[in-house]
Amino acid sequence: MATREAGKKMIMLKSPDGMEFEVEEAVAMESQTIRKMIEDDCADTAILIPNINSKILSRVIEYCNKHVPTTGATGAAASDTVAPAALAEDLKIWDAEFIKVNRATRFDLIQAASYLNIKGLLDLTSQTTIDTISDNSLEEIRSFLSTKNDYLPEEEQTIRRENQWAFQ
Amino acid sequence: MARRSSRKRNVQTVLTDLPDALIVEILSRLPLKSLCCCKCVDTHWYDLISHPEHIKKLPQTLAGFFFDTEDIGRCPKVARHFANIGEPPQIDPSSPFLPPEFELVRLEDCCDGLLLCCSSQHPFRRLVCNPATERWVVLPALPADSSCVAQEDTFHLVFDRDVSSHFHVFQIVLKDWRWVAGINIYSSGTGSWNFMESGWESDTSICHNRHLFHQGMLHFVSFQSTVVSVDLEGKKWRVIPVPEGVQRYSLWL
Repeated sequence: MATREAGKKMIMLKSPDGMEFEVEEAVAMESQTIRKMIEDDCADTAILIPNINSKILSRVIEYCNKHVPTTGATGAAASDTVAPAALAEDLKIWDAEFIKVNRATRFDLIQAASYLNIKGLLDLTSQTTIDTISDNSLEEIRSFLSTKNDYLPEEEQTIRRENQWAFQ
Repeated sequence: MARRSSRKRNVQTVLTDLPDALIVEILSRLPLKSLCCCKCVDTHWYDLISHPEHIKKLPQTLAGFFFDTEDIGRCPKVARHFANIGEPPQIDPSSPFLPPEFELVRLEDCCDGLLLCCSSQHPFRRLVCNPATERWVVLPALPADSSCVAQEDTFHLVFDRDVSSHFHVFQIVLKDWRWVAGINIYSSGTGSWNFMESGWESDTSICHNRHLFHQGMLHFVSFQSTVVSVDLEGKKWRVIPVPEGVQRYSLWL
């Protein structure tokens, strides 16, 4: 019940490896999963985030901090003096920098974004995969996915014929 | 350095390490063409993409057609059916997923698996839906300054999922019920209508039921026995002349 106060209510997020992160409630609520917990009053003092280690969780919080709508909150100050278009452009540049991580980290972020239900982060982290699959040949996609073609030759012929238009 | 990078490769995460539901979530953002390509990657991916649970979330085509039958001894006497000539998914032709005001709809146009429907109860309310994914978008009201009443047959749906995940609806604005004055274009990308003045001759009138969307341009047969076309932004307007003596009823798009 005490969580209903307005203003800068802080909330504690705990990773399974024992790290604790104190974040503003508004920032944590960028995650729909956490938002639901808070709204359902399931989050009194601290929330344990399972399966997301401290390294990934800190990056997720970094993302949420940047993307939380800045209505007089701390963090990205002076937002009211900047035009919305410039702000969106700034976010885009920031996002592009943010996602410059290795593949393992990116997949960890995808999982975290999915579990915590942060649509913007899921869009951002999936985009590289989408681009790679969209822009490459079948062989290149197989190598990207580290998967072996396990079709029998005649099976592959049939399936390729059925989807022939996709290869043109 | 060398040791570190080789160790990294051994533990490198691959996309297939992710749970299936999450892979499907990612794949749902792919254009249809790439998705079909992915079916050929291996059998696991084929099963994943073809799984009935996943199919609803992914881009897909429907192959078949809708038809109505009428039987006086039946209540309601008109029934809608869908003849499926492709692969599943099967769909419910009565589109029960639509909002209540679209309980009874008149199908006005279709394009690449999307349907443009007009509410039978509210003749000025239209929506575009995908019966395969059961998603829909209600179109906003036309711009108020569309100086004429929008005739029923002047709405055309334009969609090519290979090119873009967005669809467009064209509403031809007529002057004196005949001449094309311009086009209201709705884009699902912007979610709003935009009026573009006609770039064709001012005495152009078109056969509304004879149109084709091809290579980014919507083409019509005109009553002046030419083929006229306009692009998705209403910026390029073309007239394709036809050999002399060819009548409009012998033109096919």
